[in-house]
Amino acid sequence: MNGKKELSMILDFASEVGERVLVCGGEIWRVDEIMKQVFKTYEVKDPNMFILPHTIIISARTEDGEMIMRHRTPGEIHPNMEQLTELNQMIRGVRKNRPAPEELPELIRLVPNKPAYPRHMIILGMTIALLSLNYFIGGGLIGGVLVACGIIIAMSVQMYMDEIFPMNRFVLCGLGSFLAGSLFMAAFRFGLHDNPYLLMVITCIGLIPGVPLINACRELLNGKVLSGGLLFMTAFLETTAVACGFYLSMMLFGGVM
Amino acid sequence: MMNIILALVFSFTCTCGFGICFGIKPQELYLAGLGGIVTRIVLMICEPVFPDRFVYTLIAATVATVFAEIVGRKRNASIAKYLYPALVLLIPGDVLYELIMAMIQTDLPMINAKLILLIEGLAGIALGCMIVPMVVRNIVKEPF
Repeated sequence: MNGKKELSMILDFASEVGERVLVCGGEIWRVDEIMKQVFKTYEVKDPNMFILPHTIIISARTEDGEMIMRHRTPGEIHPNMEQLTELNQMIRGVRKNRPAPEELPELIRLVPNKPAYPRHMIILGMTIALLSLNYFIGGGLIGGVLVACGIIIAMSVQMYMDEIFPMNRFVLCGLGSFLAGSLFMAAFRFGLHDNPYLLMVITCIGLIPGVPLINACRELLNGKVLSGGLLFMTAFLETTAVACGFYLSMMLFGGVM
Repeated sequence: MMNIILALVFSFTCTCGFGICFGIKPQELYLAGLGGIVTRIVLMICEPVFPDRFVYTLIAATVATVFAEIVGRKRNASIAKYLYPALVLLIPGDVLYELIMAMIQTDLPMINAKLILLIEGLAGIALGCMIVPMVVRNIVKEPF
């Protein structure tokens, strides 16, 4: 049985782990599972959870019947599979050893909350990935150079511009793809490449949120319509912003066909 | 033969690139790349045999999940770490983009065609990654 102080510590721990798992790119079912494991380990009375991509609400009762609730709003997703693995392992340890609730804040501090790579390395990674995709889709050598420049521009806008001019995420997506698209269209106008549309398709693969799209389908197939629908809507809106940016650049340069 | 080798090499580099974006540490990037090679091999075998996008995506996603399960359990790590990079080659991102472009241009036949492709692709991947954990969780009672 848990008193108010112990229960508060358990709920703080569970909600913080849940938040960090979501920010690291973990799925909603994983957060759900983690919470259940924590509650089961500490025999929490009457636990309730409400988890959405940007909301975690959990509550439980003390042995006196008093309700305690925690609410967290996880921020933007920054995939970090290493941290996700460490958090998973920490929960396995909690389940196995059942440390005292007082030790839980220290446990979570042991998993460093820092990005796996600096931002320029992430841009480099995406450039390598898209250059490889360029081979499959048949963009050619000059196409590869243009795709590399395009993705560097678009991702730099998304990652660095927000610090200089804080902006809506969808506007940033659209702006990045507009600049990349303008580069492709300019290359087309100067006769460097004959298929800017193909280059846009390759570049958009790096800009659209592919993993949330799959997670959305998994959630929907699991019957979690609300979280699945929200994930799908976010992915759809981001892709629309990217597509609008490319479309504007095409219009600006007088179309492709 | 050369084309097959090149396709596998580029699948490896592509998945390693995405592995960096997913925050996989440098020492384990080769495992992410290996997942990409596995997916590409399955795609190469299945695409000509089952031309339907849903079927070949489902098979490739299932094999990728089996790969991620094996590697994840061997290394005592999260399955998602090896699964997502392996699935990257299957994500119909280009189809979603083309669908939205068709929507912007109100090209109804194109919207129809791309929407069906998108649903087939996403459903194939989602089902593929759900089947294996469902089976595994009934055999091994380890939740994640």
